[in-house]
Amino acid sequence: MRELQSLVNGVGLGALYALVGLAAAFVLRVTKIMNFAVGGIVVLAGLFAASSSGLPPALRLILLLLVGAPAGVLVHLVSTRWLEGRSQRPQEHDLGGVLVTVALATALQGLGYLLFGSDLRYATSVVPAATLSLGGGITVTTGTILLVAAVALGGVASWFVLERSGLGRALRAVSDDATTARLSGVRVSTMAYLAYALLGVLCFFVGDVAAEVVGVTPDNVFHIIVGALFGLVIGGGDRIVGPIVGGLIVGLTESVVNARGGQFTATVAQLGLVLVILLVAPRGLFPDRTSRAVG
Amino acid sequence: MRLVQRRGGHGGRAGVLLSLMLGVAMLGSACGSGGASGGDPIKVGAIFALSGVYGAIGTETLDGVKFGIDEINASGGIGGRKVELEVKDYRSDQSHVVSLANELLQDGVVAVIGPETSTSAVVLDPTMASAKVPMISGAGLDPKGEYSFSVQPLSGYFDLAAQFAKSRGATSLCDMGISGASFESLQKVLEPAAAKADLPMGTRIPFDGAATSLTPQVTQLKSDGCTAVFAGGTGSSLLVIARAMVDLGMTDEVLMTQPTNATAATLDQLGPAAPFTNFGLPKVVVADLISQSDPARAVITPFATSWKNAGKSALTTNNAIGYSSARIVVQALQGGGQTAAAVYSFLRSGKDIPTPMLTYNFGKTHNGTLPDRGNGWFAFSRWNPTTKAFELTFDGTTTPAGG
Amino acid sequence: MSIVDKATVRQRIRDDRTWRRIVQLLVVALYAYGVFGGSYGFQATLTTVTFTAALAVAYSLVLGYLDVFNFAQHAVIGIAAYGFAITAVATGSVLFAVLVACVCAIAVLAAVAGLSARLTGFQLGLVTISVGTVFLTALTTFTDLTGGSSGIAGFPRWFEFSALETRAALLLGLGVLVGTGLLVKLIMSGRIGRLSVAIGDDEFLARVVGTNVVLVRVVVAVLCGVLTGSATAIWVQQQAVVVPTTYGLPMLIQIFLVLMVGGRRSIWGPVAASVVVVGVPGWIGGIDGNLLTILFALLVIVVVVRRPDGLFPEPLRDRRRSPLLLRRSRSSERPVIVGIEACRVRKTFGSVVALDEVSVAFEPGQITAIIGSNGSGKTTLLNCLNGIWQPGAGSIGLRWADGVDRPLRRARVHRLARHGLGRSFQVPRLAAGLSVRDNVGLAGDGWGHGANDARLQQTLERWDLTGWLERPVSVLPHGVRRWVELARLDLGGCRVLLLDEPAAGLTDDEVELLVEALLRWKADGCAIVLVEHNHDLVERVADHTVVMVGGRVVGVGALAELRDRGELGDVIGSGSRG
Repeated sequence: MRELQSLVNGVGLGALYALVGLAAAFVLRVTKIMNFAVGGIVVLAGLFAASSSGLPPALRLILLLLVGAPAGVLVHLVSTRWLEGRSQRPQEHDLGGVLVTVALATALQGLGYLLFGSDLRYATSVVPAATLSLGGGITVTTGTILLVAAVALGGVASWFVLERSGLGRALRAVSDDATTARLSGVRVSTMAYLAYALLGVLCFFVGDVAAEVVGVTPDNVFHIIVGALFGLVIGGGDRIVGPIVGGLIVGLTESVVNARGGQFTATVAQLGLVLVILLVAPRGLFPDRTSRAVG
Repeated sequence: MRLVQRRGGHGGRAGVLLSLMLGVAMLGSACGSGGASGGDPIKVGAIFALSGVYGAIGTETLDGVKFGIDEINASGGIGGRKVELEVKDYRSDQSHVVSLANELLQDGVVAVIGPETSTSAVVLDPTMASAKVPMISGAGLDPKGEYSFSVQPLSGYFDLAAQFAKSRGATSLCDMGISGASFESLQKVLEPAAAKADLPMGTRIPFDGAATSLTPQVTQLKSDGCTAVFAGGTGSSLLVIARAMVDLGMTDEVLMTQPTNATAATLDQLGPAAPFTNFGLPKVVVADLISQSDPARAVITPFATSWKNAGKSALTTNNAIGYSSARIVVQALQGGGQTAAAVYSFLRSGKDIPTPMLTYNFGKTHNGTLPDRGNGWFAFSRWNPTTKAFELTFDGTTTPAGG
Repeated sequence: MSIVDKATVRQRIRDDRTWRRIVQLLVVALYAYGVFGGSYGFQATLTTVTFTAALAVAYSLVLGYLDVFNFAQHAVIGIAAYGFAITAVATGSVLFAVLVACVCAIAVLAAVAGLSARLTGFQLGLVTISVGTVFLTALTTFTDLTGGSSGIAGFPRWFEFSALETRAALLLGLGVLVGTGLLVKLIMSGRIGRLSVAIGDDEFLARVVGTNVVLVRVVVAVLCGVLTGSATAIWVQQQAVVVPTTYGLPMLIQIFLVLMVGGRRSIWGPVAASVVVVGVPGWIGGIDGNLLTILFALLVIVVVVRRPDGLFPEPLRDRRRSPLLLRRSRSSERPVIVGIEACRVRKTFGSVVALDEVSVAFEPGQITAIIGSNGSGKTTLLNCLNGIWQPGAGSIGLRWADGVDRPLRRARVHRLARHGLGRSFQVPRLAAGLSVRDNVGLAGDGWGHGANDARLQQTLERWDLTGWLERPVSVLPHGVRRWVELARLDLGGCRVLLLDEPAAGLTDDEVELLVEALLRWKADGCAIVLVEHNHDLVERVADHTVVMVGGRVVGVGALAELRDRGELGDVIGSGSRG
């Protein structure tokens, strides 16, 4: 029973990683940068959601989604746009870029501590919270179901934006070859702004859901983003299915191993899994044929 | 009020400048003045975490300390001398504790109040012993240094917890705590308490203090059939456990925790876990609810009233602990004398030191622990988020034994 | 233009000795005040400043010189600290505990250095961040060993002074800092320093000149581990307690900040930066810790973007290096490749066929030109010959000085280079952090066939580079950059030269110098592969010309014959346009 319950718990955790992973994959797709700051945005958004207890949950969610766009643009201005001018070397070796996003994540974490303290906070649920029994003593919360639904929604929305819309084609053109895209009439900088605005909306959505279901604290910034990026590495980051499957694998591993061997063993197991993937199949389980390794 | 606050924060450049000047002034005076002349203030040090993991507890405790110091200064000070509080923030990083404490000692403080947790206090023990300056900390852990005095009641509410669990029909007492010394000391106090209440111990799970999910551990409690759980650790880990219990449908069980976890922030976040989460609180926090006949009432009510009249937010356990610490120091200064040695010998003299939270007695006969009377000063209470107040859910069977 | 302007500005900062002198004087004055007159609090903070600077300077070996971003450096320091404390308690021997601390630091750093060869920057970042998490989780999990959040205290120490004796602590810290600084200076002014900078600035270039990048990385990581481990072990003795909160993310950000602000390859820089970053907030006091973290993190971003060399970069001086730590290569004993041959080589990228059954032999004492339009596979062929890419089918044959043809096992770039395979690039590749002399001198570290200081001097004179020695390579005009690259090949004594468009961008006068060099190399018996668009040059020097179209060889012979036979087709057109 414990194992089954752990698996059910793991689905919730994995869904959270998958959601954050979708956001990170979105940035990767558009700017070729793995942005650790995504973890910070998600957690900050969650903290804001959790501390706006006076608002009706649905209104809060709508407000957050509206604020998400300018917030995403702000991150773009501070990190990637600023970095563009200095990159003399291919992105995958541009470790300074990684440092910038890690530093930004740390700054966002510090802002979280400064504004909200280190306490774990929960937001009022849009869908009333309940615990459902699956029989045999196994329970699942509406939160887990909500997370899984959010993954499906986020996956479909990402797929639509990236694969099916004109915007997506333009974004991809930019990420593949900015110069050619510019020559063929795509307004590159506008595209990047738009992408980050969308990213902000996605992150704020994830933040709100996380605050409702698992609770948020600034302590979580790196835990969440590292879990999500692990998922990206395992799943392969360029397609929608990669982050989702990868995130679920990471979440299930963490939950099941943690239940048996504790947090430390779970962390080591995740790291081991990722190292094996990196050394054996660096492009992940669902590599995009046209892409290089993640990162 | 003469608070020398070296936390800049809101003052901007002027504040920084001012604190710089004050700092220079203090550095200068540190070498010279040792003797006490007429109107010089008596310096008392305070060292707390005002940010980081222990930040919430530290900030609330310091609030209480300041309230106590302000109160004595408003009433004219001690022997005509004001009490000056010098505050250091160690930001929850224990490697800063010793050097900050040394700065206080250099400034000639007669006592140090804080830090709020035993893990930080233990680091400070040798420093205080070698400087022969007493420290009144929130340490709950044994062993304590010779100059280390604790305002943390070690046994009182654990007995209550076991009785409370029993009264709620629990068949065993399970517990979770942050792995290591703190988990071990939890077992040391829970076992005799459970035995007294005739309740067997159940599953015990140590966990990683930094864990952001304890669902796997709570799942184990569930599958082991635990009905009453005592959760050690911090307010954050309590929340994680409480929420996991909600998620796993364990809302009919009893969750208990120590009083220091009842910070405003934690209570605010309990949400659906509030109906089954219980805190062993000092009665001062639920002053409105205690009965007329309660012997603690006479000591508690004046403080609770003046706190309310000062326009402060709801009183928390940590406020009470901080205030009690300040009261202990003030009484020692009044009763013993205005030097570190006098404060120390007063504290060790075996006199009862009443505070709103508990009556303390640090004499050799009590070996630094609480007199029995302390048990009666605790109640089991539950937070009611809708009314934003505590409800007294269990009035322990222990009767006050008197000092 | 803006690139040159930026470089000039940077150069001005480098050259601004007054600015650096002032900073140095201020630091010295601060320490003089700290040692002779400072109060308790001042000395205590200055001690923290000093140890932080020492750890940052030690870390500069890996971050600054190799450009390996290890996001688990706080864990490296933490593991060393705990390794020391646990061993000291268990065995009672401080010396043994110091050794264990070093071994702990070395183990983690060497693993990271090894991994850095296989992973991209992002992947390494992700993995090392996770290693840091594993370390912090271990501290709170194995509490019997680590003491959990109360940590370990009461271990035996060499330095038994109390916490109040801050002057002694400060002097101890100063000793560690000076020792670390001198050792880093000594290590990096030698051969290993030159190779590290080359790897950090342009890893590919380092491989091409014959550097065993993984070996150098691991060696430098081990040295960094020794310095980090011993500095940590001493600091821990001064602190008298090891607690987990010390070794969290704020420490990592602080060390990054000190190094990035101070200058990644500087020693005075991190010290000055540590005073600003660690000292000033400590002396002012009372600044909210979270606010500081935010400010520090933002400052890291600003510095990385705006001042990648930091605010106090070390000036680039032209100086001879001592052959410290990596012995002068025994190149004279190493067998030499004198000829090279492609046999039915095929190379594809996805669905694109870059080389299709290409067979060409390059003989000693002959110049073979390869011409063809862009995308015809010329550079791909060079890269296959060079060992950068492994052919999908077919093979690369090598002829050795003893006249025997045999392949080289594990024919990687740097191994081929060490046997005398030389290469120049369409855009000259120079290590930006090295002086002109060291850029040429790289040949002596890799190829190194008979290179020594006298020959280096001769080579510099022959290529007329002596006037440029004091300039950073980033501001050199194109022609001079080309001469630096060719001088390197010259010094390397390579017998097979793969030259990718050496005449591109040269003036007519400069082309004459190039011709002179090509003919000299030919007379020395070198096999020269010349990829070139300049047909006049090809006509003057080439013994054979190979024409490539769409990844295939379509003609071989003298250029004039080929032209007469009409086998040049489009190629000639594109050539004259270029």
